[in-house]
Amino acid sequence: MQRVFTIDTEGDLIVICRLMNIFRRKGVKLIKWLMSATADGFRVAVLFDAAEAESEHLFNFVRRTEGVNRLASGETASALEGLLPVM
Amino acid sequence: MENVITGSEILLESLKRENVDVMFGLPGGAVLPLYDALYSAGIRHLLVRHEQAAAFAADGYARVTGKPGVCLVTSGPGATNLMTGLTSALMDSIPVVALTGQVPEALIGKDGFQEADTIGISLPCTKRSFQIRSAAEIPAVIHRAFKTAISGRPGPVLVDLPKSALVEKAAPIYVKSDGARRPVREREWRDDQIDRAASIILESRQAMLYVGGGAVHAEAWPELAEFSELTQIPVTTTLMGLGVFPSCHPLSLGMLGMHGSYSTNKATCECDLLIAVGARFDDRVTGRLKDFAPKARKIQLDVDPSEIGKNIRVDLGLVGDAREILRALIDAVKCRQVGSSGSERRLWLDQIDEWRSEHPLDYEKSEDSIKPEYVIEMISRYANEDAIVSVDVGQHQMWAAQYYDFYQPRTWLSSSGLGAMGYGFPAAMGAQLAFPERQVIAIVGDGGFQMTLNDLATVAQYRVPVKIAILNNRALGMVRQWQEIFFEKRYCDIDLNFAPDFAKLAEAYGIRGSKVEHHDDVKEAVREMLSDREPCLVDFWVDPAENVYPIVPPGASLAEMIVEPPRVQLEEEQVLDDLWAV
Repeated sequence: MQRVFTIDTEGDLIVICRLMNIFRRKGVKLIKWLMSATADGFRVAVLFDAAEAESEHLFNFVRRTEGVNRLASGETASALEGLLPVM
Repeated sequence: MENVITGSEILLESLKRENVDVMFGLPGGAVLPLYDALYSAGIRHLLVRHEQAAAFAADGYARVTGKPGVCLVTSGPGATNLMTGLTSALMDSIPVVALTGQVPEALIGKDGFQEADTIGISLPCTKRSFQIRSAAEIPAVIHRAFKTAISGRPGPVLVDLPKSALVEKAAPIYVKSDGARRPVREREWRDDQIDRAASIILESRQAMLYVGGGAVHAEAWPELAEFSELTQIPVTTTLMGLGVFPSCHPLSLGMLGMHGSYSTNKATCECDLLIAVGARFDDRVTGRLKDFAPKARKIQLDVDPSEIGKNIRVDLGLVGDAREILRALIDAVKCRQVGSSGSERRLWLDQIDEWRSEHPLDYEKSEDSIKPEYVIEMISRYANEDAIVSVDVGQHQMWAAQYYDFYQPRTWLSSSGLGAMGYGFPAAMGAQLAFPERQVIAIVGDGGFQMTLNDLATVAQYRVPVKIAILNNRALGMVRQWQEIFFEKRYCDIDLNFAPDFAKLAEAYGIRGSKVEHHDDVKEAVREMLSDREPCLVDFWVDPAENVYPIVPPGASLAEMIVEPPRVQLEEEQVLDDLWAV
């Protein structure tokens, strides 16, 4: 099933690298990866395809990752709309 | 005028404020300003002979104290050499703070001499990594690094230190440490979950506690013992959990998994409730996942929410500090324990005893050769109850896990998740620095020891009284065992007969060394090894054909464990003995 994570991080690109590495290592099929700078750091919106149990594990993995300030999860691609300014 | 000092001085003061009393490291160009400041800083520094040993020693220090261990190395190769140690710490959730030198900021990304992308390389090996850019930010970053290392699920944190920040001057603003003994762990569990867990526990008749390293990190051993005794639920531990529950306790089942005892693995297969405490259902524990504890409802306690249900579906996940959750469970069970199921629990414990009698953890005794299990038994017999045992990876590690009696937590050091050979000896050094008065015994194999034996110079230089017991089978024993059992005895590149005489090598470094080749000499050698406060090495020439049993074949279920060597093999071992003799 498709799922969207919206992730706010600290302003340290290492955290973004870490997040990308998590998605790579967990073998998640990425459909869209959007990123922009915010006043406090970075915001990443990820659309991906994964089984429900996997996405739940991934949700918990990402939310406990150092440097992640906030994580929201949505179920449809429409959740991406309006989340990010055009880069 | 403000108190303006160099970044190096700020760094060392920040470390002192985090109660750092010892560091393990090796200097080089990028950290020379820091070592210059260290000259008069009042923090002890142990000069290792390879950076990997610095990481392992910091890990050993952290495991026995619960405090972050600190290692300090230079840029480039110094930093890259740390990575195995940091990965091991990450896998076992050990709080280590690694300080790495870096080229001056202006040279970063320009391929300067001894520049490596330490942050990039360390990314999957650490819980968090920081790169400092100015002297002024050092106090806040160092404080955060230490806090991160011990908070939540502990882990290694790396701080990369460009030389420019170390020489720059600034007026430091230090962060006040909260001085908390125990790290803050967020509570996510709810009271209704505790009620549900208590109901499940009281409904069960054949329950088991399956306890891992998380219980050690949470220092949950008093609550674990109380809960186990209150509910009469027996306790099995993972490799990481050894020591958290005394081996001699009547409710102790020892270790489960690939080399767990028959009765423990059998109980795992038959239990109707499995309560995992800070354990992550590792493949070496579960065997074939779909057949792991097939009859059991499962409750999982873990500080890391991403561990709940990661490998195996659980009926109830409780996220938070293991100690707090166990305390809540104790209270909940006490409130509800009416019409106790004690007699049925007794039947379950009797059943486990019966399985234990059928196939006790045992080995073929011999006086013609030194059985490695016998060496472990002797060390266990003569070591103090608070002795710390540090192991490498392989057969000797499993024999130590099986035959050494643990009385206290934080007395067992093992690179369990990563399985890094070469860990045991340097980790023992780190532990000994933390507790100079306690016995620290590195039980190693001849394979792993050859990976980090250069630090014999370190223990000799500082007279670190580590005891090194080599179970020398002249081979990569666990690889040989797998080639024997699973690869039709096609022994390929496991021969370590070309090795130095370890006893003479120890003497060359200025350490007492001896070699033991006969069964009858083992007891006395162990007693002598443990008799003084000096470093020493004893090279036990053990039976090279000995294998670790029981063993669960890779990919099999615990029920398919091989309990003992096949009869025919016992005869073939003689042939193998002859081969080795040649």
